[in-house]
Amino acid sequence: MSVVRKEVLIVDDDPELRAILRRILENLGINVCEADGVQAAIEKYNERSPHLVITDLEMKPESGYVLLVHLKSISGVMPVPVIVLSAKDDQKSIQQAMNLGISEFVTKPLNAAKFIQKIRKNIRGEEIARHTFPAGSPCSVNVSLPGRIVAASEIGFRLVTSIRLECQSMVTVKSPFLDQLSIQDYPLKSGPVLAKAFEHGQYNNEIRLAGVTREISNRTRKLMMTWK
Amino acid sequence: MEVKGKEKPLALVVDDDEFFLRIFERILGKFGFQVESTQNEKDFIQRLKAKTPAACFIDININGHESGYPLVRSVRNKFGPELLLFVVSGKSDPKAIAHAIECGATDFILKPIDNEVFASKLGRFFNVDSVREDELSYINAPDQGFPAELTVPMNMLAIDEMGATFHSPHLMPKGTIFYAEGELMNSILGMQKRQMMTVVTTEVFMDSTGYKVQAEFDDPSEELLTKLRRWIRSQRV
Repeated sequence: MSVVRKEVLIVDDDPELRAILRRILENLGINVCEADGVQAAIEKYNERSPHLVITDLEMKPESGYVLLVHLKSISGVMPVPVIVLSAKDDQKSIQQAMNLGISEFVTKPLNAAKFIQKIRKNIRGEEIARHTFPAGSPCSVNVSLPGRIVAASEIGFRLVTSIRLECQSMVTVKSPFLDQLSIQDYPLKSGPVLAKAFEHGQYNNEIRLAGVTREISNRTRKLMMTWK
Repeated sequence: MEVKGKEKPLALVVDDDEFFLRIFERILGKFGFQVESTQNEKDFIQRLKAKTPAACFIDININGHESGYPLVRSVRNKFGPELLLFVVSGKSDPKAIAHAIECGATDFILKPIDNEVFASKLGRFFNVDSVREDELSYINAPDQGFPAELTVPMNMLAIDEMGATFHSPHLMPKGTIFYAEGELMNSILGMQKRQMMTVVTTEVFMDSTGYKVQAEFDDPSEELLTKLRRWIRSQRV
């Protein structure tokens, strides 16, 4: 089971504080990216799409509120949890930030234990990004996997691979076998009968070549003669 | 080869070439079919509605028009996926063959009919004599055979930072390693690269139309995960 490492964007114009925050977060196994101002933060956010943003409010030339307004404008709500880390502790500043949809307001100077607790709470709450394709939207993906052509006839061949093909499905196969016969462009379909298990959990799938010409049939026959 | 059964199965043929029809009727008759043939499409459709043929054979070029393609498509849509629908044509161009298959043809039989090839193709669909005199048999490839790469299209139901869920018509057992690629993957990952994935669970789809396959990315890079998150979030806007 693979584990997705979470990523946090730190926005603060104080490089020393950013270094401290980076150490704390990296010790928690979190990936960190940094920005020293609002414009850099917007660029970093677009580039990295982090799971969580930690931002200062008092920055120049633009304040952290500009960043909060920008993030909220993306989809009408905060797209990811945002923790504000600020020396401002008046009720008005806190309320203004809260109204923009931030998750936490942490006051400076930094209390490391309390800060870690807030990080854990918010990063756990942030589920991994997921997209479900609505019905009717284009969602076709090509799935390719290795196999072996183990036998042939003049109308097709047997392909051993990990998957059992549904009957009569259109498939694409690339192989030196098809190259030798110059039949790479001919449409291929799986057989009318479900494949039997072969060995090591693999399936022996029958693949048929549609529209076999006499020339193809002759070329195949000649090639198979050399196998006997 | 002779098709076995108590009653002779019915083969319904439409082709405007009378000379070919007579030859084809003889070939099908030799294989044990009862044959009904016609030279026009309307008559073909009427007979198809009235009877239950075991197989239909449709010429592509009827009376100077390529009306066989739309005929195949409409017959396939009307009579469902089970009907055996063979296109019979002298067109050997791979594109013409692919077009017929896309329209819903079960297979493509080239004129002039090669008895062995034709018998072999029919033999895959009918209960035939075990001797199968005319049918071509498989010959094993030397050594370990030829390396090959199989590609099949599949619908992606959902994607997240761990992997993706697919609706697969094919059985993909747990542990199957594959590559996901194509335009959608390129647009999601922002690069032209195939992504290696491993199947972690496979279950029969709720409406029994195949399998629900869950697969995880193999060793995804930070770059990939970042691009993936960015794409997923862009879909919410």
